Amino acid sequence: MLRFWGHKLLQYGLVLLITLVINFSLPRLMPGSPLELLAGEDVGRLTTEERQEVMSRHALDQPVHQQFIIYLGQLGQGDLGYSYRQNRPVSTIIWERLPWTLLLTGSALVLSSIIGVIFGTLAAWRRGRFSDVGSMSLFIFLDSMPSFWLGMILVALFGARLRWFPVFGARTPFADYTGWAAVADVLHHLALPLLTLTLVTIAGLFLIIRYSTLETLGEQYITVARAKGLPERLIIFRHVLRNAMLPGITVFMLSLGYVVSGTTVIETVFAWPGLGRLMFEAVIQRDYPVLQATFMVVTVCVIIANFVADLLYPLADPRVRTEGRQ
Amino acid sequence: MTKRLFYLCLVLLLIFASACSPTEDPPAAEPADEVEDEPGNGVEAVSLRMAIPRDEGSLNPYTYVTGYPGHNLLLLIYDTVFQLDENNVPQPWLVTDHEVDSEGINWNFTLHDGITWHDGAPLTAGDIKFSFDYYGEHSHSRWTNAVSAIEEIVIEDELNFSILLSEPVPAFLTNPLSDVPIIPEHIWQDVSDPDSFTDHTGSGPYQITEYVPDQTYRLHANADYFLGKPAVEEIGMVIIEDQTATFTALRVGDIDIASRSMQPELVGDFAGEGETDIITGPGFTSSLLQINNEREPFNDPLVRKAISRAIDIDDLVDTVMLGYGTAGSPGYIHPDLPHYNPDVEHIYDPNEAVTLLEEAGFIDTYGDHEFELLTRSNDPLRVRTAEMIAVNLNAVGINVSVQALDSATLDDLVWPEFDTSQGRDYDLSIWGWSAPIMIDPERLGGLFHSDLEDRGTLNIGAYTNNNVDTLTEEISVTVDPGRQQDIFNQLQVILADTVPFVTLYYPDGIYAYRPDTYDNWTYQNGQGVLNKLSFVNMP
Repeated sequence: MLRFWGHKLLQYGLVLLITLVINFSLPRLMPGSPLELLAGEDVGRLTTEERQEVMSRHALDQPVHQQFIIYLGQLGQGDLGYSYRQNRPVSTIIWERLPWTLLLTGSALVLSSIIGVIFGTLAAWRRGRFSDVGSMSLFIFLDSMPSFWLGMILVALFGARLRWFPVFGARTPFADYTGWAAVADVLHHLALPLLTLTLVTIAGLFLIIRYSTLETLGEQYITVARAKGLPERLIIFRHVLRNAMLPGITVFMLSLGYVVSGTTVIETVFAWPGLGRLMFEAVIQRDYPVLQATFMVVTVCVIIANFVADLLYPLADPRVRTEGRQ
Repeated sequence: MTKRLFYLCLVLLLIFASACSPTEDPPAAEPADEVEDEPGNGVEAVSLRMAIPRDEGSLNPYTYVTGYPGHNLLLLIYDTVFQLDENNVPQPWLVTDHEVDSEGINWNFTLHDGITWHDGAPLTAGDIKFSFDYYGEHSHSRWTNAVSAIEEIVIEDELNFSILLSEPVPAFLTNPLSDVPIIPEHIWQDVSDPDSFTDHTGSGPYQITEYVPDQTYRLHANADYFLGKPAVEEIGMVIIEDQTATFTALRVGDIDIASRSMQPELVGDFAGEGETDIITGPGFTSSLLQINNEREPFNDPLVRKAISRAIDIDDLVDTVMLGYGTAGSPGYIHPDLPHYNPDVEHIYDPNEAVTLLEEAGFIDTYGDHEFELLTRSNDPLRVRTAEMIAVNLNAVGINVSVQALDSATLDDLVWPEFDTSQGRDYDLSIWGWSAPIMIDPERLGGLFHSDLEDRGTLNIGAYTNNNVDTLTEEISVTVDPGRQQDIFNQLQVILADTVPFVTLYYPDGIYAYRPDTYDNWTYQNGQGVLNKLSFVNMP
């Protein structure tokens, strides 16, 4: 057992190291330079010496492997560096953005999962009927819709025309709400991006649950349960769903890891102050420290989610437990 | 039963949006109340909300980020010795009097009496000297170069000082005096690393009272401003990166003005609708077809001239800019500027282009070659411009394909490391320069001089012409206005004839705003409404 976990940890450590190398080298392999961010708008006026001075202040004049060693050293001390663009510690920026992303993508994941499971099960149960075909068409239609387009339509309709919802941001600027008013303000801002993100992500879990439910419904023990005369509701919830959920759990755990990366597109359309947009801006502007740190946070979260999935899966599926013992 | 359950869930899903809203009506952004004009009190609006596209740091001279709107916002917080008026003529601002000797070397100034910093300390001649000395010692891409010709500043007393130049600077009153902000000595005297210094105590009409990084700035009117209290009590600036989100926010009234100029196709939605309106005027930013003068066959002036003849710039202004722009002058200078030469004109003549290409032997060698025309993918107007130019060029036998790239990649190909002496790797590219590079005559040397190490720092096409070298060198030290104009005229004629790049158009500034909140904007010619004069009157 100990050997098993030691092996796992080694595996995750290796994955982390490889991603660190990739996260570090990818931004530097992209064409373009952060010099404009570092030197200011009138970068064309710099003399060669001034240019070198700026680059050396940020250790960008050193060979890449040297820079990587400096980076690892800083990382070892928990220092994620300074953003070139904002001139603030990257860790501060990430801490500011993280809650917003978790709020949006986290609640969207929960909502879309609940809806996906309920409708997936119902659709399989009513296979071939109108409710099955109807919900499947609806969710696939939503899934295939570009999220920015759906978001823009919702903003135009519910934000700009009906004015039910705010059109940008996560809070009303300068309103200085406190207590419940602040919570209400955030929820009010959250509604449209959450709706968009939920609608476009339902299909994934819906389809998986629907297919695995269909498969389970064909099992012999379901026939036995039916033959015993168990009520249909009991069959569905006690016998079918519990087994059909397994692939759903895997997908859910994997998505959980990606929650932190946010959804750049939706965050952009709604000017939501999350991590996805931060990452996107950092790519556009070649803000290396922010790129490295956000990629790393995402990587670590995916690894942790995988790890937790490894831990939880045996609880949901006893068959894995026994295989583990052998 | 289950069917009903299904539909119930569906309905629940659809009304989910309203379920998320708080029960009581959310307090919308409070409308700015108009206050009545009281005598002696210039306040016309209580609060104004403005959208800016990105964070500008702590908004001091070393931490602001962009040329526009960063520099404009900076100058609401800090003052300059002179100030450009609506027509970009420098007028005394912090000073009342000035004198200059006939060579343009020795300048004497007298400061306004009673100017104070936001913290109450008096602004004196010592601060002026300190500021220029500080910029000379602590490198900054915009200020350091601008003050390089200052030999010495002599303080005579609290209010009087003189500036001695090492050589005449033709537009000294424009740059540095109307461009470089004055910083308080008592705050900056011990600062050795200005890039990480975040104080923003200035002397300008506004002071920053709150800054939430990446989200908002709150600016408060400086009640003790030496030219009287500014017209708007409070300016709230909100950072909205996305263009569509910006203008939707303006439409619903969450903001009152956007710093960014609007796309021409949106004008119809905002102009004269009642709640919103637009202010337009000429813009001194430029859109160019940049040509790599170093690469064959574009090193042949005949080929470049043929390219210029092949492009229908009036069509670009009408089709891409929907008329909101001025057609480019082949001498680069905007027609609204005093040093424009009206004798040079863009000639659209595809037949002549074909003749010129034949003369240059282009078709034999390059008839089948496909050239790349690069453009920034995040700017739809430029992409459209590139596509129309490709059609124009294909029509005369130059095969061109459009490549849309992200801006950092484009910069890396056209202007690697932002250093023209590092070479370049492109055929053609859509490019543009900001307004300061149009207004400041000294920048012409940067654009066209062939010495890429020292002078031609903006010459990204590596254009070479000996006459242009001589003329731009001469203009950087010429103070006689007559001789200046003479050089400008000659320069524009040579540029029109040798085509370092094709000046396509100068996009108009189009600013959408809500007149009910504040309607007293001053359009500074070529530079837009975001300037001191929109809030404070000229002395």
